[in-house]
Amino acid sequence: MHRHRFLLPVRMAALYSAAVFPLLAAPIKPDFFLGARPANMIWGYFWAETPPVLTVQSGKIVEVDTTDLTGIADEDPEAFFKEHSLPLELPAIQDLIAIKRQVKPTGIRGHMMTGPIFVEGAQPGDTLEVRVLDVKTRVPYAMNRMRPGGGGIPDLVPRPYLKFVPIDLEHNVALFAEKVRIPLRPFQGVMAVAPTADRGKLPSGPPYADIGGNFDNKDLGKGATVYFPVQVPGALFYIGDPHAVQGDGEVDGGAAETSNTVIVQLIVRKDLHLTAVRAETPTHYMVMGIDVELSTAMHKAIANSVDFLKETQGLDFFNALSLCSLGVDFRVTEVVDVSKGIHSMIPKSYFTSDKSVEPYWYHADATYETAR
Amino acid sequence: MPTPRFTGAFLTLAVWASGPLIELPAAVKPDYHLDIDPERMPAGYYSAETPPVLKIASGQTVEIDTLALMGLSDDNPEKFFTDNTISLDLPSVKKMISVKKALAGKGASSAPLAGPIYVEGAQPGDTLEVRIVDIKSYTPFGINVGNPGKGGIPDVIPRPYAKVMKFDLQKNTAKFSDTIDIPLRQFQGIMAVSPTKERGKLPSRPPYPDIGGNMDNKHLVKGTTLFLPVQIEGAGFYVADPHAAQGNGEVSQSAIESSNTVTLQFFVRKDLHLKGPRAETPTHYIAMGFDEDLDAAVHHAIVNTIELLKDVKGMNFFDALSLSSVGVDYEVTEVVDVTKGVHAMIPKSLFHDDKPAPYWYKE
Repeated sequence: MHRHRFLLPVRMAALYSAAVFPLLAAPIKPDFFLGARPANMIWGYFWAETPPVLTVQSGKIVEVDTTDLTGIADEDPEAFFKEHSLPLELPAIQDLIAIKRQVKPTGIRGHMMTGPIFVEGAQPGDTLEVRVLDVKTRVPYAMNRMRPGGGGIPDLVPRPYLKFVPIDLEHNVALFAEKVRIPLRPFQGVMAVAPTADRGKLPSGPPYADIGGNFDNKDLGKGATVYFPVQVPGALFYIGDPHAVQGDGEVDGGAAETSNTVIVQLIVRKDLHLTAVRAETPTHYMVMGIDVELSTAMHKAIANSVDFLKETQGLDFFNALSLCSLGVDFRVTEVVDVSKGIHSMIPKSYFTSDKSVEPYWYHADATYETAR
Repeated sequence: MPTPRFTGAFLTLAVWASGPLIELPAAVKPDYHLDIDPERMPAGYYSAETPPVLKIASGQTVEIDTLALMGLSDDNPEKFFTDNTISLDLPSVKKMISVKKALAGKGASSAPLAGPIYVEGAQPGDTLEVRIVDIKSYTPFGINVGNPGKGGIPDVIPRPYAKVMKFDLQKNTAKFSDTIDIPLRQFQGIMAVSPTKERGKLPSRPPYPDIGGNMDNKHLVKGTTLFLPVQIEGAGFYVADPHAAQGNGEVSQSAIESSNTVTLQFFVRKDLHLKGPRAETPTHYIAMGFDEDLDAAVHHAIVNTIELLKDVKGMNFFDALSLSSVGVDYEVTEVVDVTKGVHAMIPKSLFHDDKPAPYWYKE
């Protein structure tokens, strides 16, 4: 992707040393806040002609609220919260109720997303680099839903089932059952750029290899960077489908669906030209394969990983394939969004002897103020 | 896999369990060493009728040398080593050459099977618990290959390749290139029990959803336990296909193929009745799914995860499926052995049981 974006453990260690760290520890305040207010929501599709709700310059940091409406009834949005003894006065719950009441269906089934955000200077052929600086769950619950005909065992689910999972926000853990607790790893199921105008309105249900969308990739949480090939001027960045935690596969059809506050930095990269979305974490490069057939998704993930290693590490085809076989993990991203996903996790630690690279941007101990 | 983990029938275990915590003895002295004997190696298949090479009691430990002969030619096995500047004087190399010569023309695969081991008392319906006590590389080198028409991108690979890597066994790494070292995590690609007699000779290339086999599951390293459903009296355990490291997927068609010495402890579990293989690591339960179609393999893996969570944690269907979605990771085991595999990694840390079952392995 770009040889100057590697994590160098030695250099990072120096940055983290006690003497240096206090300089980094000052909280960072986002440049913009984009609330989950009815006017900021777009329901169900990605489209080049959706008017942007925010315009930012490249490099700006945006705090965005994202919502999930699972379990909330159309006719009486407050009932759900009363039933579960959740405080109606909580701003996040006020947002959910207002959205449920005011945002009208568009006729396309899909996610309730926040955006799009217009990034100045982004032109088709550029890359939009989205740094996920922080993700925090903002409601004390999550929902997990399954139904016959959906998920990874559609033939075996006997009836619809909706599970309410309390979240202990102080301890960052989902209280799944009396003796089962799941540490939260919040992330956004959906992040995308707009498709070109000729593709019309693309439903947000399936992920798309080029514009992104409903990846449901659990590794795209705090610390991840996602690279989108820009299709239209301004990129038009969409974000939604907040998850509190999910396993690789998302096998019942849903994650722990919740509401998150996400802090992203949006950077226009003129030097980077991609045909498909790529990502990285502090420790891994991530390459994706997407297809309605999982075997084909796997094939694409392998071929794309080989191309990635050729392009970014200068390996020849055989060494790239060999490294994929003996040192790269292929994971099932999700099998439930019509188009299925496989992603490879390529450890950065293999390449640390390259001294020409810059450290990765992520600092585990960085803190953020709210801009709301 | 339900608690109590130990049936109490095993003296060895009773001794281990006598302290406040279960602790491994300072060094496990295997009860048996199974040497490589080309005359007695089954040639590439599992069969109920292959005579056992060893009979052991439940609870006993066996040290086994398993060979990777990939890259060696029948007519001139020495050439591989001279081509790759590997000394012909290494005892492991001498062994590989002699076994390759003895097997030449016998139709054995490049990963000859060790076994079968007969475990006394094992009956159909029981479970064979195989504790992977230790695995070490037997040679300081390994090989990775790919071929057109094989592996995860069979249509894209233009010609055969074979990549030989030297190991630093002190650091337990493979030298992939001048700048890239791969950490070694040795495991066995193949572990299986015999099929029933009426199934005849089952080829060892694909994994099987009941007897195991060429699962190529990278998590079956030292410290992991494999549970296999016994099909015939004595179980008839096979082990082969030593790997030094592999990624989930094994996408080129092979791992770092490299000979290992593996130390296994066997228990007959009368209290456990499984339909297919399961595994357990110090940190995870592992459920598996196998099928020629990767979508179907995921389907099987989900169903087997739900079964495992019902058996081990008493969860109902909905909670088990829900937990599978929000807290369990599905990984691609391999896509290159005709029958493909997906496995579920179920973190033990999710469960806050009052009395968690102690696990035998300690670092």
